[in-house]
Amino acid sequence: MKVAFDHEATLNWANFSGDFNPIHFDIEMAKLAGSPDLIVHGMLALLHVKQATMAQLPPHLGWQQFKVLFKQPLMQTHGVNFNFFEKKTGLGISVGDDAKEYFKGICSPLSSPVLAEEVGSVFVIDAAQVKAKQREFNLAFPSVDQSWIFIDALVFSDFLRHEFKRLGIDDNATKNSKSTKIVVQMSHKVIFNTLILSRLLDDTSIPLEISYTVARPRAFLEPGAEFGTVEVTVFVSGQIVLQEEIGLISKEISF
Amino acid sequence: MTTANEVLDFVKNLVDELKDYEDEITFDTTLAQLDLDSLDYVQTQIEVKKLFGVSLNTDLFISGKITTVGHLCQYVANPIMETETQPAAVQ
Repeated sequence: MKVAFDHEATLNWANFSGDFNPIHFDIEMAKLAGSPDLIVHGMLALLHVKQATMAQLPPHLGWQQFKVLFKQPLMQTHGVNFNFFEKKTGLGISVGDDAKEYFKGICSPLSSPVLAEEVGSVFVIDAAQVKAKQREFNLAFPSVDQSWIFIDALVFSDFLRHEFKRLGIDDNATKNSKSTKIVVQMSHKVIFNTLILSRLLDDTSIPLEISYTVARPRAFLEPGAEFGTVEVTVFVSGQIVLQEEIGLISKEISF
Repeated sequence: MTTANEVLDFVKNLVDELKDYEDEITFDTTLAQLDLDSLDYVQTQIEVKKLFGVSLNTDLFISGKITTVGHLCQYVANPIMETETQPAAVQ
């Protein structure tokens, strides 16, 4: 079955996440980033990859690690297939067409998440906000029903809104100068436990407040590129329910 | 102290994550055989720094100083002291 992501889906994700990076909406910026057409948000496509991955696995396996690399920009309206296959350490994931592989990843068992040694910031998303965002998410992406996928998306979006600029990464690229810096996500890792989440979320009488910590980012400079990862640990009722590692790469583009 | 064999186990897991390489990975396996692309190299740099605290400058690969899994394991187990080409860590 081929899956494609159109402008409406892109806009839904941008509204939910606040990610209005011009490579998703401005064809000229997409071309400068090396794509002949508008680019799909990696995290939008991943919603559906994660949902399809869960259909391949038995329920409640304990801690799992889902990791995907964004190998090539995926263009809007371009149909791709999701393929799953056995690997030595887990379930292999490939998103592509006959010519290219766009995303590559693996979902594998893990003993438990490890807390980062240095925590930079702590954020709280209050229960009313969680409820409102969940409603928005369910309306925009009705086929995605796994709670860990929603929490991953919610925290990623909140992180983008609060922390993106503080990390020295400015996504409001303008065309007024001779060059600009474009930041793209290169990888996304999520460590989650559906059993713990279902125990916490089944009791719907308790308002669900979500907090998360952002570890000090690991970053590297290489000629022409800056890349790094940020680790985000998510808590519900004081218990770790999920951990994200967001891989970002920034490149200077000259006009 | 990290041993080359410990790094080899790490490389095997990393390659399983990144690639569809089916053959046994040994110290003699070349990086060309693994068919690593630029994003795979970036991931390798990140994971090595995270797990072993060792910075892998891209120049090590471009210059041919590291062309096999064995070279990589040896470098990570016994990193060369700071040189002019050592990457800038932005912590």
